[in-house]
Amino acid sequence: MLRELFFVAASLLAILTALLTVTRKNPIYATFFLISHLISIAILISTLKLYYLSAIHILVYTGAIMILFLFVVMLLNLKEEELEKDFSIHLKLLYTLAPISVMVIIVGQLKPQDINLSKLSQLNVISFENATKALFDKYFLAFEIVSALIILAIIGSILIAKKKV
Amino acid sequence: MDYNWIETGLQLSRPELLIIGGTVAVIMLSIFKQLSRTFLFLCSCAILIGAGYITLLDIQSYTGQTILFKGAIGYDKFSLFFKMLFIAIAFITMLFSYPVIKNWTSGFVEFLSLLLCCTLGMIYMASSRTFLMMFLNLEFVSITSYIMAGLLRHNKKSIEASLKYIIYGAGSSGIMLFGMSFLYAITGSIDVYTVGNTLRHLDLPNSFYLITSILILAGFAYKMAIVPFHMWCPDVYEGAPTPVTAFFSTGPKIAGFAMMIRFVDGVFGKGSSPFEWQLIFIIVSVLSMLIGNLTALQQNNLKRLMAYSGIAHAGYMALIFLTFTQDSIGSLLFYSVIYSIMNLGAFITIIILEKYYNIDNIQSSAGFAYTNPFLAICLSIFMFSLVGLPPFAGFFSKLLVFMSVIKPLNYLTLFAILVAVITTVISLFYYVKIIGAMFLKQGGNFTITERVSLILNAPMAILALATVAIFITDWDWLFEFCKSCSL
Repeated sequence: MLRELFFVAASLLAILTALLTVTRKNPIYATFFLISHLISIAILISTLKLYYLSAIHILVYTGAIMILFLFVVMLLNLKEEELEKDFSIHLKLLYTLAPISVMVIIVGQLKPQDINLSKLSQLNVISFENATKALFDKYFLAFEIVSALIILAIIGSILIAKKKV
Repeated sequence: MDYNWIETGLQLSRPELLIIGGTVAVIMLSIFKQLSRTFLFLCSCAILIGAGYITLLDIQSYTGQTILFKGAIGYDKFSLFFKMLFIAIAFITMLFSYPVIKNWTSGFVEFLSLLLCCTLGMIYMASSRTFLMMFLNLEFVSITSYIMAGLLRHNKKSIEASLKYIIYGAGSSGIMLFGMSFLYAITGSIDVYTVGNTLRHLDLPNSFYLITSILILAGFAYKMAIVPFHMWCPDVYEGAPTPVTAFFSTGPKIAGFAMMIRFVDGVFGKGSSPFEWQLIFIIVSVLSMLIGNLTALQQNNLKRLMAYSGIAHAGYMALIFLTFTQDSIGSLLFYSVIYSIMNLGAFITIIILEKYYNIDNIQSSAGFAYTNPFLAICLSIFMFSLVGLPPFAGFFSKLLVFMSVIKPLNYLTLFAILVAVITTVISLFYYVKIIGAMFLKQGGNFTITERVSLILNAPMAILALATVAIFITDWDWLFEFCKSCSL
């Protein structure tokens, strides 16, 4: 019972904060609402008993990515008049209707019984031990490629940040 | 615990290990100031030659199919073929980029190491079998491309190209992941062949397939530069350094096609499938041919023109998905070999024009043939081959694709082929516009600051010869080889 309560509360909170994110004009407020949106998503995940995933979700999104977001937004230091700029009503309509129509089609076509919950529930066993095992077993190559990707990212960021051109 | 699979996996991926190890070595060696740039360049070339040699030995002796790293990548003739092709493309690109990059104040080593890394990503793109590997390698190639597009930091256009590429790339790969997450939710697997098998036993509405296919296509088509997702292409091609543009127009584009073939083969399969996914490909390929060719007519800048020509060629290549048999995949492989030869050649001529004569558009190249007839003749060969005129290799590649598509003759394939033939005729106009400006018009004096480097002239001549030789000599073996490598 308590879990259903949490589920409903977290999903309502997620929708509310998502709406607030896209309607705020000040990017810093928008970022803060996005953080609370991501936290409510993490609560949603933890009601499915996927505690590890939810912890990682908070760590990666709220901890790393959103802080970077906030940092960049503050670094840009947008002026008042630039923040006042608004989209035209046509663009607003387009940006609202396009995602809604895609969502309606998908939700209308996808029956809940189609979703293979038995396979998804295997995720329940995710623990730190199993995750590390999977990383060096089934996803060995993916893990190695990510490490090469990080080398690349270092090269790129050094190239961009170097003073002497 | 049994670790034999790691051992076999590493044994069969020696070229990849050589490339990634070599990349790190080149970065490390660049610390020493005593080592000249030529040495680093030769090191990178040696790495590619070594990797190519190992692959060549493998491809001759190997038949069959192996799945490596617990289903992550497939090791078969298809992936070996693309491994060879990508290493060759990277090697030619590295050769002719040297005269351009050797005078850069910064970014020399970065260019070499990024080119090597990008080759690795493309090789894995062509062999990945799971959604995870596909996404990861697509991002691998994309991130390398973002950095490479922005290598000229003092140039505003280069920065703009890099930023545009990042924004489009981030958006389209996000959309692709969204589509893949639906397939995962339905089937509970990330392996494309398992997903395909599971989907065949489920009775899902067509609109579900439609939505997921379009969502996933966003990520693939962005790499292939097919029409609804082609907007980044002209700006990035124009802004990026020209050797990098030459690489973008061949390597990552063909890698996108290779990945798409494996994806379609796994999820929808050859033969009948519950969903008529061919319709989507008819729409995108017809649109690419029309928009690519018609927009190219109005271009004056050479690199922008090549960008639109690349979009049109991606449309011709996407035609093979209409039939998707072993023959048509083979003809795509043949097309991609010929396309890389003539496109890389065309870009070498553009590099020479830009570097030595300061020409970057059609108007200012008027009367150029009287200054450097050798280059003008080579350029004409590449351009006629890109149109698909008979005495050049481009004719056969186009013909084979059209022939393989038209085999099950119905209204849809007939319509697609008609559009393809008409747009081919239209494409004649803009390619000939360049040749006409060079040969027929009177123009100003072209002064040259130094002699054109041999390292640019030699590959250009070889590629031009290859374009002619493939037509004249017996090209059947190449096509047979491509067919034997198809999935």
